[in-house]
Amino acid sequence: MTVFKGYMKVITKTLPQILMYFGIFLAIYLMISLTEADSPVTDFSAKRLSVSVIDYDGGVLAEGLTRYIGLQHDLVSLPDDNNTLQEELFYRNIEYIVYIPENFEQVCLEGKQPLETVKVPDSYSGFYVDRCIDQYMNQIQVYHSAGYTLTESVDKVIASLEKKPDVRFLDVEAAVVPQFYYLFRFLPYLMIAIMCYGVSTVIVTFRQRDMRMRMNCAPVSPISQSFQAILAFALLGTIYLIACLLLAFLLDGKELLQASHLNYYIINAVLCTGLSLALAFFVGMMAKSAVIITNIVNVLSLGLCFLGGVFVPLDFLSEGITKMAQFLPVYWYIRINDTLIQFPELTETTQATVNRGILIQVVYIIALICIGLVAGRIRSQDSAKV
Amino acid sequence: MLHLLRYSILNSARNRITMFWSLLFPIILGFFFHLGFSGANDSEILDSIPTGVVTMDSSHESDGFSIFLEQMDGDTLTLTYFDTEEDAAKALSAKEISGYFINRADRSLIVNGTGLNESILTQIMNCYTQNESMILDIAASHPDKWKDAIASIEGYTTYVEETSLGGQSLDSFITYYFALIGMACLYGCFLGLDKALQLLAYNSPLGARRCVTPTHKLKLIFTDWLAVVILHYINLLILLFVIRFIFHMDLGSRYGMILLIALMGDIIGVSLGFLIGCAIKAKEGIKIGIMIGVTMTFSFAAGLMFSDVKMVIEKHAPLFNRVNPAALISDAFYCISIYDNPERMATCLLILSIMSAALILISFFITRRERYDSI
Amino acid sequence: MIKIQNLVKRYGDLVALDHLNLEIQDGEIFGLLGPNGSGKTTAINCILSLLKYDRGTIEIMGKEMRPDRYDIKREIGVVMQNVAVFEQMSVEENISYFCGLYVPDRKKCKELTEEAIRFTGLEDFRKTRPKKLSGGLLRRLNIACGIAHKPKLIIMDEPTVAVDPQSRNKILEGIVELNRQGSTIIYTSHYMEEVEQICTRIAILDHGRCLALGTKEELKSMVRSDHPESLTLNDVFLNITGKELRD
Repeated sequence: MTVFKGYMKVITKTLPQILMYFGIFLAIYLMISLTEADSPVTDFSAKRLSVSVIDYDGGVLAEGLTRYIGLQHDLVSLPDDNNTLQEELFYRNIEYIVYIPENFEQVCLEGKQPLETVKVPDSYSGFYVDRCIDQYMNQIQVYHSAGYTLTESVDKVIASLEKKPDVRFLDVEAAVVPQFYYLFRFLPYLMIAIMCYGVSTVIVTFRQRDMRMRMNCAPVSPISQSFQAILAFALLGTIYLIACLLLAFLLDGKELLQASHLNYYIINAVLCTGLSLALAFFVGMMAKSAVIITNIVNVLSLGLCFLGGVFVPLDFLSEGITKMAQFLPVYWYIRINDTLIQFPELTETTQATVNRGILIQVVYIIALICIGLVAGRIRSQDSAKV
Repeated sequence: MLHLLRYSILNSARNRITMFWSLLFPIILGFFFHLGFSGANDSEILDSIPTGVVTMDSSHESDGFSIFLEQMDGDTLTLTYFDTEEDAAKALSAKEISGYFINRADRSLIVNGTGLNESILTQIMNCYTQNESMILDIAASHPDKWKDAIASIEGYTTYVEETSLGGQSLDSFITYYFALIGMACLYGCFLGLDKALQLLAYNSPLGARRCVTPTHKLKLIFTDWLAVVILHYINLLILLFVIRFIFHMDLGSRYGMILLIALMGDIIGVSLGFLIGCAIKAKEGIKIGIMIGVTMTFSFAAGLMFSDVKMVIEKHAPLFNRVNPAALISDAFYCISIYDNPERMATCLLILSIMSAALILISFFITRRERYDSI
Repeated sequence: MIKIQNLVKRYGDLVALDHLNLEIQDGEIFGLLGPNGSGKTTAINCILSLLKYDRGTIEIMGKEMRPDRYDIKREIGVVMQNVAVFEQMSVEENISYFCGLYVPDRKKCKELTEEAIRFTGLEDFRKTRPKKLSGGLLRRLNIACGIAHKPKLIIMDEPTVAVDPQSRNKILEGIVELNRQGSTIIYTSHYMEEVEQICTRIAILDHGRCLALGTKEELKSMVRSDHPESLTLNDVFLNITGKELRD
């Protein structure tokens, strides 16, 4: 098993880079956990935003609007200073600013002029407050036109908030995304990077012309050498997979053990590992030197993960990109992951989706290994002519 | 000095590995962003929400709520009627509908997620409930004004108009591109590292040869540093051009400031590489590994892969954002394009300047060392 | 030209140079021999002021050598043991660059670069990058970069390693020519026949000390032999330093 030991020795030399990627992965997961921890979801209630009301009027209608918003969102009192407001908006201490103009009643209620608002530029959540303001103003309009005084209208509109509609989750488990989902979602990024560093670098080293010739002279058959190599890579893959799964159990064990499809999550993770190993094998057979591996790894891992739905959710990708992404193996890994999380019980259709995803990943693994072997053979023949 | 500068630039420009990291990789990543995000803005145009309706008894089949929903059928909603709640629940579990209304005396809405569709359905439910209560209230207390009230309901309009605090409203994915530019700036560190390694006598015979020449060490160091700053600035200009004119991402109209921020980012990236090259006594491979780790960490923390990360860090460890060069560069871009806050931008640039100066001084101090204990 | 007195250099507990004393005269080709780990390269690096040393003095051209003695450095040419050129620059660019570090005048630099290319027989390869050069050509490039500025003192650390006999011959002829033109040369090598062929005087180092110093005849006379006429420098070397393995 000398060849196996040789492979393992070279693999351990890449440990610092591998640990670095593990660290990045852990950081990503912790960041996401912190984001989720800030907004736990247990029942359905519309999102509360931090809102600042700049009131130039101070009348009954204006105060009513402020109170109305305050009952549904969190009011943040700030001075009317552009710089302060920009700063608070920039750091998301507030997410919405509404300006109530002087003579609010005349300008907006009677004149139907809109209120000026400022939202956080890259967020959709501002629309909640838009609808809130619209509802208030329109209801005031109705009450007022029905003969109520302004004060009475404001009181009526605010009182109407007490009538909360009955909105319930069908299945809380399905509605709430567990934290381990994100760990599995970012797994391809980690696996591709680690396997390429660990496996590709080793393959390139052993495929150097002089090294290859020396190995061919040794009394170890090529089949035995290949077998020992496969064993080394399989061991590497297994160790990392176990490390990732252990991490998942450590950080979110309770949820994971209660998950509806734990077996499928693990199968999908195994396939992801296999895919990464196959990809790393392919890269190792193609690359000319270890230095290039770093370049290839970063482009591959980020590219496959961006387009495959790891960083950008599949729902956000355009139709054209989604069609193109279906040719990428990572896409199918994510499809399975998303299906498992969305459907606590698999229907016939969803089960078919899962099965198809598994099959496609297996096909990719075999294809990558075959192409890698062919590429390696061609390169050996080329270098033998030198 | 021009002689040295010319050859120094030529030498770095021909190094494929460092040029890949400093020029090509950010463009490739930008291309992935462009592909990934190109369709996302279309999702602002909301599709009709598939919704279920379960009418519990015939008395509610053509009541106000049913009519209210039917008016939205084909537009905001796509309605499917179910005979039983179980059927509707099945459809909801299978994601065929986003939610279903149970139309009975105590109306309810059942959903199975917390996304945009579910929120809109809740708003619809909310709106109807409040309006219904309002009409009943008016009918009871001011029956003579009932018709005016109905007419008023039919004249519902929007009372909000979005403005900005002086900046521009840009593409919602611009934050990723700002983080990308921040990362590209930092990737000048590969050029800086390469140059630093060529100045160290213990690192290579080339370094040793350059150390024994009569050209003043500081002149050699400065020329090399300046050469890669110039080269990387050209790289960044190319990247900005690609982002603006090929990916069609609007970075704002203050081009002078954009170029200044890019220059500061360039200087700090190159200086960081210089420092890592000089200060850490390890093999070249280890130094490159450390550099990739450091730059990826900074870039990730600036929101390169997951845009909310920067805000999470701002909430829990804001000091890190003040010293993360990628975050500072990204913030500076934000300040001149979206928020129009030149003071904040100046603060970012000041911090970047101080950090650059510190990095350069320490690097110079270490590299100018004239004799070694061991080579 | 060079005066080394009582030079001591330690790497921790290891004494690399142990009170080394050497004097190299103007105009000679001085051979520096020694087994691996004897202190040759350390001595050279100390002469070049690349390494700190613990004790002793080094004088070059009558002046104490220090890292900031740029006037002295201007007169020294170095040919490193490992090829020290820029991979991304062509032959001509490399020579021009290094010449430019010694000779500020652009016109003069260009002339000297041309001369160095002719001298080392690299005319046909001026636009070629180092990666595409054979071992011999690479060594010649390495030499050209070190001597283009016509230094008074040239230090060559094993310049003919892994080079074919034709290239080696060319290099040795060049060294002799440089010496004829007035340069003092310090030459280290493990190829005894080379040293025997070109060196005026030879020093044999071991364990950081100079064990023998003199012309090749003087060294041969130090060794008792039954057949003195067939005694080679190699025999002298082994006799003085011993036959046990080093490193």
